[in-house]
Amino acid sequence: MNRIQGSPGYVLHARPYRESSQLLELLTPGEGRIAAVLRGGRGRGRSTARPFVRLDLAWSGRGEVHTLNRCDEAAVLRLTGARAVCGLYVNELAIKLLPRQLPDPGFYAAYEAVLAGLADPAMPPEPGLRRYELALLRLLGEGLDFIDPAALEAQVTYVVPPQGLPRPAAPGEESPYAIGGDSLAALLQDRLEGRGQRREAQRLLRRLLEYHLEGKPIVSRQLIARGRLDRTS
Amino acid sequence: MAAAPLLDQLVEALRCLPGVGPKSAQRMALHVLERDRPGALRLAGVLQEAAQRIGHCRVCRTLTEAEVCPICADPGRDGRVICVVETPADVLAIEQATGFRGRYHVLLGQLSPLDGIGPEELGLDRLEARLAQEGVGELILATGTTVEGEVTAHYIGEMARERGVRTTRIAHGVPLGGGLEYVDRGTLSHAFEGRREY
Repeated sequence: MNRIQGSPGYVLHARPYRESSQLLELLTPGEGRIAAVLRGGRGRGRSTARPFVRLDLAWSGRGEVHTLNRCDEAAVLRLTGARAVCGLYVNELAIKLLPRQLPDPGFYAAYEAVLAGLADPAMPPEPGLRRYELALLRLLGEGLDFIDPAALEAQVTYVVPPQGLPRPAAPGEESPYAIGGDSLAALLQDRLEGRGQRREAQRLLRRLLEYHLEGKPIVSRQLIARGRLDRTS
Repeated sequence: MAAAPLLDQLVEALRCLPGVGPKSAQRMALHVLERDRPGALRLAGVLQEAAQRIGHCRVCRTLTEAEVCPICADPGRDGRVICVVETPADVLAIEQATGFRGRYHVLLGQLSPLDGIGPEELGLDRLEARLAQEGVGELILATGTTVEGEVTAHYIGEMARERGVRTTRIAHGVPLGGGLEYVDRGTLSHAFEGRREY
């Protein structure tokens, strides 16, 4: 019997279960992604268990689906408009790529940071999303950390294949994992500047994520494409 | 006493209703059999007819047995204002609570990427076609206040803006007749930010 008394956490996805309960996918720092049932969660019309709310949780149970004994609001992040779409994108990636019960404090911190950034209208959403995607790829075993940005040559095009080491592109090579040396260094050092670098970094991260998604679609991307990111209401 | 198989079937069938467990289903079944057979026959007849004949309005998709629902067919209603809601129940709620005289568009759901429901699955092309054809001047977004409702409103709002249609979103805030101390944080902060001249 596994019993956790008091842990922060976020709802990644909630779906109705039976008459008044909810089946939740949660992200917690100590246990990673877990599934849990909240009984009577939908009882009074609305539930504390919804995305973008930092929760104070307690759960028990063995097996894959736990039972929540406590689910209290600790802090509510307000994501509206395009930022809510980005928030769903963040959650969709976690649900589709993060294995259950693989705790990683670094990834949890990256998740909290991206949500906090999306909830703050003064912060542009893109850099936070890139950092989050990078954190997720690290958790999935992509060795981007082992690249030394100082050793990259700005004018050289590199190929960063999934589950492999980066190498300079062969002359005339067209790879989906190609990125300019300056963009790659900027991505790793978290100092992406200009439209070109941001585009290149976004494309590489997306291709690497797609490799891990194994053909599973990311539906929230369709919504981002329509509701342009620079608008936030 | 061993129950008759038909009675078992009736009890089992009643359990498809929301909020009806085995005990309630048994009580309902025994009630109609013991005390109200005409009521039971009437229920059976109407239920069968409703299940067979009620479909969705060709224009707004709410439930109706006609091809076009009475609201869409009413020439007295203002076709330049369309209120977007999630369910037919929302149409009834707005009709009963407000003096709204425009028309509706019922989504029959909400955008929910994690459940695989994108714009295509939700049939938003039909709403887009209405915006293109009907000369709509205002689109009222009355989707729910869940994350999915917010995202749905945002997406449809962008769609309308691209066509130059004015969009509004219903206000969210403190319920009437209640004290502030019982309102949850999210609602109160929303209500606070959405304050108006008084």
